[in-house]
Amino acid sequence: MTFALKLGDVGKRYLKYEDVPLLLTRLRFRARTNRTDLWALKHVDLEAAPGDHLGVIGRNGSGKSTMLRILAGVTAPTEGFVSVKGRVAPLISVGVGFHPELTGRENVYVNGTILGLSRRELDRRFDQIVEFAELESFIDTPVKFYSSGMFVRLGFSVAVASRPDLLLVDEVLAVGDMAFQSKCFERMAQMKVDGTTIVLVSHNINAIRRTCTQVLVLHDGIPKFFGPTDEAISIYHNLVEATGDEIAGETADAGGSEFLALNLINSEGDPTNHVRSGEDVIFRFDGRFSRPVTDPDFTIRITTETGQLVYGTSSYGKASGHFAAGESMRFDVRLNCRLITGSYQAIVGIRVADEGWQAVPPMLDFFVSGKPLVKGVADLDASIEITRGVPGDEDGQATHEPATDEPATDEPATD
Amino acid sequence: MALSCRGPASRPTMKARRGREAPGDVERNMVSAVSEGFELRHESTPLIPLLRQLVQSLSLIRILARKDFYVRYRRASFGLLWAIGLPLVQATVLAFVLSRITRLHAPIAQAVFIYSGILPWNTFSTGLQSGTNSIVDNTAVATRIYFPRAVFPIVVVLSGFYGLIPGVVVLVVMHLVLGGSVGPEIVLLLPAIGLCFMLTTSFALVLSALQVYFRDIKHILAAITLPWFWASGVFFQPESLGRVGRWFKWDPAVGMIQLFRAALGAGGRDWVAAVWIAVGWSVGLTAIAVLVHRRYDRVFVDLL
Repeated sequence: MTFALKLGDVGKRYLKYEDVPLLLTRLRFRARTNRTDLWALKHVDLEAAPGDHLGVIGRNGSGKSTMLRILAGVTAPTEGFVSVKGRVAPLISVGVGFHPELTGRENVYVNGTILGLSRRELDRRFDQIVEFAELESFIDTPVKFYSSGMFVRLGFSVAVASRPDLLLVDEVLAVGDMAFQSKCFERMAQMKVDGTTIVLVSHNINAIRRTCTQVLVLHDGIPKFFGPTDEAISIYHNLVEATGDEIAGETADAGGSEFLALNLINSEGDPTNHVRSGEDVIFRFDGRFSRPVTDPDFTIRITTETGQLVYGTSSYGKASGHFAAGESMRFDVRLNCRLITGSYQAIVGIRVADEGWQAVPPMLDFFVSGKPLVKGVADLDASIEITRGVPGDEDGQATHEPATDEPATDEPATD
Repeated sequence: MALSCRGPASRPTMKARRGREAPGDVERNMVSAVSEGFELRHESTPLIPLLRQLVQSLSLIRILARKDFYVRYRRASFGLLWAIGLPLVQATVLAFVLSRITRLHAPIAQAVFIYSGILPWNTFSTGLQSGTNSIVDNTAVATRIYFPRAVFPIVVVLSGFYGLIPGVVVLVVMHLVLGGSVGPEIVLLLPAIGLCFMLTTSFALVLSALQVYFRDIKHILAAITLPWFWASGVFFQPESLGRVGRWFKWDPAVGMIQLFRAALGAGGRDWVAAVWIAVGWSVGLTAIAVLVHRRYDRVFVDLL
């Protein structure tokens, strides 16, 4: 069988930052090296045929970025081997290699060349690139004036125009607007037919589910599972829930307060990381003050995985009373989780007197499964009603026969 | 600069290059470093594939160097004039000041003498400084797409040469205007530019790699640049310093500058030896660069 990419027992070791030799320590006569190995990846086997769409999921720090780097050929594995056939185009992060002072047009040429296109190929595909990115009227504007969405559109457009044999996709797609996202997914589906292998690295479960047939779950650099998407996603969710508890054990000091736990409680009263859209939930923060404080304020912010703030509120103005040193507190935020499908982060903060807001690490990652057909960020829980005829509009009334045989649907027939 | 090449260019300075791309040129460059896949088993890269990929990256180097040069002067009203004008102003000021303090033993007009030193020196020292940081500065690209990391230092050095070439023309004109004459030795300007490029590139290749591992390099370089400038022979012929002067020819910058002067008939007695020493430096440093890049090319990224 021909393969498009193959990883055999790949391991990647990094030096921990504090062990990186400084000039002086290198020059010193008896340099003591207390190297600590940090294996970002270990024993990864992977094979994909042309046209396969692979997903790689895992928590932050699970080795996803290292995986991308190895597939891009940017870094070499410490052990094992990696083999990739054909042209690789990375679509990682927003507008890599774009120079802010250059116009969109100039950046297309520079970026296209970096991706391995010749001038002639770029000339030929230029209009197509611009059209796909929907940037006809901005193409001669320096990209520093572009919005992040425009950046991504142009970046994606150039990357796919390079007709890569292997397309590496990071979280980037989450940045573009919905319409463009669908367009990208359509394009990727088309590329699958053309035999392009795609590796999508993301914690956007939706994107993975939509694009990938096979998914690799990474945990602490070790592959936990490689197989069908649905199975992989449920394994991933279990992993996230299991490690969520570990995090709660850590402590962090902020504003004289000590972090004990941050939990998401579902409508049944159980801690979880996975809630339904429209569910009544509680974000419960437990902490302890290391010194006496009066009327501390609490805040909570919920962001999408791309960092967009969805909702934030605080207890400002509410007299919360006096806390003695060592006294613990519980901060419950009850809300109806009107979010669409996706992964989100919650972060809490504390403000004591006028010392400013202190974010209390770590954050809580959670997933929401929402209703189909809902788009955007928030589920405003609309009900749609369709009736015939507008009162007062005589011309618009159906006069011949009452059309009752077609039932009104409450779902729009889009997509 | 033709980073773009169709439709209305946004600024007139961008039009120039369209016609210069021969059709065969483009075809030859169709294959690029990233187009053929790769297989990695070790951290080090075998020499032949590394060199082949470097050669395949030539069109990439050219377009990136052009971008680099263009971006540097884009927002300046006088654009390219700065690249030529700045060393000219420096040379004039230094010639004026030095002529008040001391007598230069210059066989040609003082301003021309100093300008012929400052021109290659500026290209060399800025190439070294930006070259040293080039891999680290390009973290965003370097961590995402692979092409030989040597491309980064070569690009910044090359972009400096877009300013050197018109500067050399100005040098010759200035030489003639100030009463100098031009003989057959003027052809030495070509190897002079070549030597300047080789020397700067070989230094930049080594320093850029070291900078990834030892972030002190940049500062050490900044510290020695000024004393090096005064010792580089921009203001003097080594032989005019008597016995001490003999040692100066071991400085690679001296050989490089003397070759430029030799082209104007002002190379002095010992320039051939100094030039060979500079060539030796380039060859030696290139050899070191090959070893370092061969070993670390694929893992520089781990420390970015």
